[in-house]
Amino acid sequence: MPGVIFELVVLLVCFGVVGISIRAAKAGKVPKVRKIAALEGLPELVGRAAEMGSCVHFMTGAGGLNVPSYAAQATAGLSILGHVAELCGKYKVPIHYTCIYGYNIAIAQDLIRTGYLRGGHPELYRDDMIFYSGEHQYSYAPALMGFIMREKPAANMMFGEIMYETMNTIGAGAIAGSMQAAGTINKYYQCFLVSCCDFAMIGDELFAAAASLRGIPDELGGLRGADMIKMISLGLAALAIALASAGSDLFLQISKM
Amino acid sequence: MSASAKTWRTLTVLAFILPGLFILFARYTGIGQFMAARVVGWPVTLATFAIVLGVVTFVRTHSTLVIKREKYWPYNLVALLSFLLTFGMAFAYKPVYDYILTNVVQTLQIAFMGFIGFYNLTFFFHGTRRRTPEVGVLMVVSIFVMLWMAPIGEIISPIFPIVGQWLNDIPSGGAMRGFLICVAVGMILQYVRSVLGYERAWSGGAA
Repeated sequence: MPGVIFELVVLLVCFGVVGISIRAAKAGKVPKVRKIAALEGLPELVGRAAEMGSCVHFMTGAGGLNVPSYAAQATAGLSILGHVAELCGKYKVPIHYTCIYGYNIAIAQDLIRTGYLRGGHPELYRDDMIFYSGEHQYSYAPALMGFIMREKPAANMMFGEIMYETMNTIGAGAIAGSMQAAGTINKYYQCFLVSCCDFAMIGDELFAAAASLRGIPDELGGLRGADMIKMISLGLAALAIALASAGSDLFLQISKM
Repeated sequence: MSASAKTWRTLTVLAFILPGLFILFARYTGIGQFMAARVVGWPVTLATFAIVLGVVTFVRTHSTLVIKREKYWPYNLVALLSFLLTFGMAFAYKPVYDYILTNVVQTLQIAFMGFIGFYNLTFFFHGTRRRTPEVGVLMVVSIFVMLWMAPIGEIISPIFPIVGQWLNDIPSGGAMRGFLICVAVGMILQYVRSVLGYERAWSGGAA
């Protein structure tokens, strides 16, 4: 298969760089991570719900763990759900998670139950905090809109593989007066998130947020590794552009190995 | 965490990591590719079985809300009856099931898509809450790009197609490529974290 050797080398370099960064962080060289506004804003959103005596709504979108290209985002979204559930436990705020897939029910129940436990109020957890809408976006989007218009949550959060149902949810949230936070890597929805949400994670900030939630040195080290890979990628892109401009197809040949 | 819970958690992480490593091994060595293709299909099968869990939760949640006469319980009753009728007819009497699919479900889907189209058109009006210069730039760019794509733009002024296409191809195209590189690296980081066992949100609460 053309390109497989190049692909393997890139993968090994990525694993190597991230591994070295994690090891360096474990040894004490913990990188400083800049504040992610949306992540910093989560306590504010939950606090608002507590002040208003309202609830928090959370969704991870129509993309699930069963599709390889969606799984990374869905996992990051679930990580943030666990963190938000802990905040809800701390502030004694009910959280409602709306999901499209059956397996998300069990995962979310466990995450929210543990979140409330860590927050100090396990008695507030109820199984019906997870709302299952059916396995299709046609049912998911109206269910989300209906839920938001009925419950009028003080905070509406959308993190993960969120698709067109996001626009319906954000629109309903705006009408219901919810404070909104969202994050996805789907490029087509960035403009909506940035312009219509109070807090938005742009692109891979979603992954960075998931990795820096607990502030563990190992995970922060991974973030530095990712930044180094970006630098390497940019360097290679500049090299490829320079070579192509000089009339050489060397980089193209290497990438087809 | 108790010892049994720890063992269970370790097994769960191994059940995630080992198939992933096997798929990578098969891809780069060519050994066991048939089996790897099967492994890739497992999540779909597992997700299909999980629908049963969803159905049980759906029926339990809605029936509890109806029995307790919670707020908006008639909506729950409609959802429950619709589900039971469709589910029952799929086994009991196929023509009614086909009728429901053709005349109710499909019609509702078409109506909903129409609603979404209108909703998207008016989305910025009721959704935008930030009044920043960046959002202003976004709105102006959107207008130019829309008038480039729509035939009426050229009729209004020949500038719209030229500026719209330039905005789409040069600044937007470049930004998108940079964005995709960062996102791809972020995804790699997420997978590396999962393989190393740092990311376990998918396995539930002890993540």
